[in-house]
Amino acid sequence: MIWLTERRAQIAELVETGTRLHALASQRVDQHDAHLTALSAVAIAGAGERPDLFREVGATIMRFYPRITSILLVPLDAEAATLGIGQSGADLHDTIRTAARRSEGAPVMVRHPEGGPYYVIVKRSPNSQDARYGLALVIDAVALLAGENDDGLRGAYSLRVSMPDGTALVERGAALTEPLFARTLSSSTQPLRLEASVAITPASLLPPGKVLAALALISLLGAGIGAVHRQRARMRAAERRAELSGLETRLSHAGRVNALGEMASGMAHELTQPLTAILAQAQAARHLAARGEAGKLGPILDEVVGQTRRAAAILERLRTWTRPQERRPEPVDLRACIEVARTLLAPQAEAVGAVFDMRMPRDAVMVLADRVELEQVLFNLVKNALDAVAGNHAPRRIGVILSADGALAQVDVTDTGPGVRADVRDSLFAPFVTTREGGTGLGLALSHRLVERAGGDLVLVGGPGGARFRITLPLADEGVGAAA
Amino acid sequence: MSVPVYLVDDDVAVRRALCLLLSTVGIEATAYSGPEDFLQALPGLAPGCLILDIRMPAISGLKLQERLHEAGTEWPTVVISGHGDIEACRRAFRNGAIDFLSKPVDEQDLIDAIQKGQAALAADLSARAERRETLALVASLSPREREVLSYVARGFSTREIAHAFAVSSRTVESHRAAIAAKLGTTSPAEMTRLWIEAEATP
Repeated sequence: MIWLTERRAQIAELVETGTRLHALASQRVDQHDAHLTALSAVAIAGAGERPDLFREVGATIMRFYPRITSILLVPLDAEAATLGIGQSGADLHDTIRTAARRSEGAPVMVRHPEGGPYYVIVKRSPNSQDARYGLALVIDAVALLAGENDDGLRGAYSLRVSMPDGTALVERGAALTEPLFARTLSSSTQPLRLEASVAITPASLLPPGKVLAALALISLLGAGIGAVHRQRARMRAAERRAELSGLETRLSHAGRVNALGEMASGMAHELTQPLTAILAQAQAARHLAARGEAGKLGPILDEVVGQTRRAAAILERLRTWTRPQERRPEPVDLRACIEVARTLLAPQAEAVGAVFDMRMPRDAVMVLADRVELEQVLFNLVKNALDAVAGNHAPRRIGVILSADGALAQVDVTDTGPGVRADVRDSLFAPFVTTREGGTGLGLALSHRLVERAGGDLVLVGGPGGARFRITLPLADEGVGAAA
Repeated sequence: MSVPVYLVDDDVAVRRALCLLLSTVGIEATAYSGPEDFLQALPGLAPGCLILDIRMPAISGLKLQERLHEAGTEWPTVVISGHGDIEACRRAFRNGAIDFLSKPVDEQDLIDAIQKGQAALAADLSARAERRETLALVASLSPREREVLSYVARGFSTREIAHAFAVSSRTVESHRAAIAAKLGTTSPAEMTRLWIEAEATP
């Protein structure tokens, strides 16, 4: 019977869609665990002293994952203030505290006290008996299933997403009595139940007498409609496949949120270099001193002093990086900022055998900005350029060209490296996008934000050869030469 | 036991300091600023102990380790890293690292690791030399003697071998005497060992 065939096709499509949704949602909930780990690291690193850092990281995550509607850090001590972004409330805080106390290590999933499609996933932080906080993400289960352009399941489907205890978070379409598709998400922390069914075709509800006639008609109609319907379903499936492959790209950089922990480790790596040198120099000095070769100690001590300064400069950068609120716009000479970047990076340039090609006007080029921030931006761009040419054989040239024209100052940072890969061009300034092994993907994102904050713009200029980043900034009123 | 030591690290200050430190304890290390430089110099280098930083621009230390492995350069490698990344550590050991040290590297740990590497390399080199010697010994046998040796190694008696070859026992005895003279041993167990070793070496 055509109707039965049609019904079977419907079921097959439902199962296919359900399987896809299940895979998508499973992947997505896994990211929540990664976010919790990253946020917990930030919280432990000093949420008490640095609430802004926690909020900043949280805001970045929420911007990329709209299904996360709140990120909260609730002290287990009910007297202390909660830190967070998004919707919040006393009931929710209590729920989070209770869940955090219940946690034995793994994140705990609970319903939102106000109901709706929301659930809360709570991790204790630090993750030990001495936990001080409950760290929570509030997740919108509707958005969890949402694709890029539509809302997951459309058409004649019924859908239910429920908590492990059976309470429904999402219910759509006719009531589900016997779901044709039912599966639990493959996440140990968020084993949500996904159930779907297809609405029963009216034909099966017709009184028996009319069934034969109706069936004949419906079969004919159904064959036609079914064909159209299947055609649409195929198109939808194709669209969804395209969407999923786009999603994969985004997922891979969602994994980078995990890289927050790596940001810390990147800093640690930078610091270990001078420390390694200092330790080895000092131990060598001890051997020489024991042998009475005091004459050889001078150069060693110079090296130790130099490397200690290098470590201090890294720390200073870390401090300015994490102190975004203390911003003091003032007239700044761009030439001086470029010099600072050059000085700080000279050892690295020497190490990779890169040559600087600096071109600057003889007069000062003044812009109104925070000096430290501008130095940071130039440092980032020049450092990126150095990393880009490091893999080159020759030439390894870094250009920094400063010019002032009319009301605008312009700095071009160029390199003779391989250029920016086409696939990252569009997302270059988004956080956590990086092409470097072990990169944090924060350098360009931060630089972009800092330049924008100073009223300017940072862009990648197309063209042959290596990369060319261009900063444009409005000139300060004093303009060119006033402070020269 | 003078085995060369090669240091690959992209940081000039680290290179300078570690080479100086090693020189004060009598270990002369040659430094390379990156995997590319090292690979370029590699064909002219004597086998040695490698100290490798894991995180360098362009090719990482782990990749270099893999490339050396692919190229059949099985030198003992000490991996040093700026951060205790478990996964990197696991990968380094999977690639055959003999030790994994976190920066800043303590003098004694580094020296111990290098000595371990040097000993491993020396043992490896002498094992290779011994294998070469065995091969030369077995190669010196005539085809007939080699055939007889293969039967000896499989535990056949002189009489059984004579029967198999349809010759007299005395003939087999004289083959055995020639084999013993060439291999420098009359022990069937030792002959068997040499035969198996020669067979196992491609």
